[in-house]
Amino acid sequence: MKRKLTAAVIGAAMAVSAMVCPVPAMAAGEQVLNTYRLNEPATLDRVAPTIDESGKYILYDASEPLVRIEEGKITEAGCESYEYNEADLTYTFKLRENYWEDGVQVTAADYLYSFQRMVDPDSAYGYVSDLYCIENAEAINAGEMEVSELGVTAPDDTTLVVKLNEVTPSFLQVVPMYPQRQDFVEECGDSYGIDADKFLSCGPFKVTAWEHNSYIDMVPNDQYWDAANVKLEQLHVAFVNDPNTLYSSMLNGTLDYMETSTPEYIETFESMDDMVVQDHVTPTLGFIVFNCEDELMSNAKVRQAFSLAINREMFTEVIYHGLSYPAYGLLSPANGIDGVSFRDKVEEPLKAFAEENPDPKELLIEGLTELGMDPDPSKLQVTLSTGSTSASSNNSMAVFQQFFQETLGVTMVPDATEWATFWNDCKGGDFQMAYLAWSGEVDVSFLFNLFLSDSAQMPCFYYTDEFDEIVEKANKSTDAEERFQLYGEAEKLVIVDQCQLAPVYYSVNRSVLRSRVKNWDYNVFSTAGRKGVYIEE
Amino acid sequence: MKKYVIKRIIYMFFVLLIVTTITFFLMHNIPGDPLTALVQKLPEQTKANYYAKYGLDKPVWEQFLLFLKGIFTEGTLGESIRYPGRMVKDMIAKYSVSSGQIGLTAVGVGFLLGIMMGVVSALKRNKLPDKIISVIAIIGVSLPTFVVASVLQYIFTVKIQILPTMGWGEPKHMVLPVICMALSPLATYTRYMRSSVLDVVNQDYITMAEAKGMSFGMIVRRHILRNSILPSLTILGPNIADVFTGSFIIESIFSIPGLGSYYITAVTDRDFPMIIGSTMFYTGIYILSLLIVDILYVIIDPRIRLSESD
Repeated sequence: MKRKLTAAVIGAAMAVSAMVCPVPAMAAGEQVLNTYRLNEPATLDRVAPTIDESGKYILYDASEPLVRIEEGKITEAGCESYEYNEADLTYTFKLRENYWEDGVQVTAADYLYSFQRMVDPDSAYGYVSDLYCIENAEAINAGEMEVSELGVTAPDDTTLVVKLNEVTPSFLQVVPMYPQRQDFVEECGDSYGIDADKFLSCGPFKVTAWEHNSYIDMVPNDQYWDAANVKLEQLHVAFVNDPNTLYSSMLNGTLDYMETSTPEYIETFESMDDMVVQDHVTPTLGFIVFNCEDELMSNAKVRQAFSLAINREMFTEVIYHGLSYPAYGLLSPANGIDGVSFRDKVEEPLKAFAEENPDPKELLIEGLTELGMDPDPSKLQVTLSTGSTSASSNNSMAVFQQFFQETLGVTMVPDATEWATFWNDCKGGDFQMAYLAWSGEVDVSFLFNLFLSDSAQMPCFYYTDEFDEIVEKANKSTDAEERFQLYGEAEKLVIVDQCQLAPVYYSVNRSVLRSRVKNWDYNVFSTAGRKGVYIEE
Repeated sequence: MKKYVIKRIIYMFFVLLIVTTITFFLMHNIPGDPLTALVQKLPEQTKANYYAKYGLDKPVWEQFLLFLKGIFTEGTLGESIRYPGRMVKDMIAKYSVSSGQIGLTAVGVGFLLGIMMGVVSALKRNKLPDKIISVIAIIGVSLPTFVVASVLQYIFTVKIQILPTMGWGEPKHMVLPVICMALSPLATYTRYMRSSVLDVVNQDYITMAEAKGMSFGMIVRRHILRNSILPSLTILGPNIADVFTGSFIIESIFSIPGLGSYYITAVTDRDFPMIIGSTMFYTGIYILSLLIVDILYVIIDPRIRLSESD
């Protein structure tokens, strides 16, 4: 009996040790890159309504758009050249000789097909309004015209012509131009883009495995036109969102890259010789939006008082440990026109206004008097809503509470619900002030367009003709100086004069990269993917 | 016995129907819908198309009838809204396997070790083994899984690099998750078992068995174990049901493709078909495991009768 037991124990121990054999250390010079995304992509179908940031990230590597943004500049990718004809507003793209992973040549029809799918009302593509600059796109999306009438044509296999409605300086940056092969998409039906075998690549890498909620594996696509310059032999994208796991993975070599804002982690990485730590300001703005239809918030002076009461330096220090910048404008330093940062050209409007009004409480009392309300701020109670119940979000709410109490003498009640409930309330106007963040895009107009009265995306319930005129003029202008000036005026309206929104912080990415990984494109708007990345030992 | 089981299975369908109905209407009454949770920006027309595609434009009761029709005529639970193209039925079938694999191993390990430790601790009451086991049990009950997981992960993947930090597919990927998940059931079973063994050893029949000259091992196996295992068995049922829906925390820490993360995100994303599908699955497994435990009762303790006719 005893002997049997001993044998069993030894057997079990052997089995366990066989399972836990050491993780093979990566051989020197091996061209393998291990990176991650916080969530798995819902789909790799670029025009699906559920396309998300993870999906776009994979597509940079597994597809070939007509042009990419590399090191901040528009670079030919799927096309070898393109021409813009100002007189008749057309872009003409000359395609490269490129092949799908199964050996079939990529043709202009493949690009045309994805354009048509995007505007097709049945696709319910979420960002379809970005394409309204193309001839007939809006009418097709509204179901008034056929998709074949779209202003995109393929006169031959290597030429694609896009005809615009109006001057759109941001066209190449904003419109996604990824090819999709009709026969393959139709064969897959609803399941196109949801599994490794339901997706076809024509980019630098092809997807070989997709273990849902765990990882995606990619290897170089030998049919790719520039395959000779793709140096990585394997690209592994893990889906993981636990900060401790990310940290451990960086330490033991499972990952080569991570983004973090935890001061303790940064300290460790900065002390390591083989890690490069870098900060990059993103176009994401954290802000408080006012419901201008609310009785109290209908007065501009009241809104301005609340905006000025926020100590942005203290907020970014306390909540983000200095890992985000105090915001006094709508656009972060990441945004710019033709490579010139918006913030280098336009002073943040709230700074001057804060100097003119050192005591926000006075503004508040004036506003209350104008409204015919009791001018005693201490009798006032306001509600700040937010769409997260995380610890960090709760801390933010407490900090705001303190600002409003100390500077204005107003009692603030936090109202934290989960996102779906919160956003529903915002859309329905069932809130007073709401704290959230909105990610800007490469094009400067993006955040401004949210306040246009016909889109009315920002739930401030106050949209003016004056603002509309300025922004629409700026959107169509091709003169950079004029655009800076016009957007500057529009920004001042939103932040100061009309004060629909109180900016709080510009979000910063702190990235940690293993130093042997070279040629990494840090630009926050980069669509270069991992094509040029290589490992140096 | 047979009659009893059939009766229970029929009841099961009623319970399932009631739970489904309540969940369906509750779910449609919480603010927010799949679309607002998904995107912030969508033209009105596109939105309307999207609602129509999933039948969300119809009144709730009509959606409910369509849902029931789908189950009974086509045996489908619908398509996920968050992950279009993926059928809820397939997602549950696929991801509950990895959750179940980790979970069942963890519960199995926890149950067996827990029973053993409980018996030892009761028989060596107030001696050193009992004290050591009590400490382990207290740690197991009081330390949250994410703490244990993070600590073990740091020790075994960073300090001594013998296990993978994350991933799925090979046996080595299961080691840490199973240990983390087994700790809490282990502690629970130990404590249950200890107190029931203590109760049993003082019974007259144990003294009787000793007086008969029965060996100690025999007494433990024949009399103590069978008489004291029932309370532990009672909690085994719900425990098994738990593990199939997976542990959201463990799955996200070790990046395991299980049902847990889909189940949780379905709620925050308002992915209606996925919420209702996983709730039904969970309910079904729960009821089924209770039934199995009831049958096990009879096998272990012949004094228990499932129905009057038995």
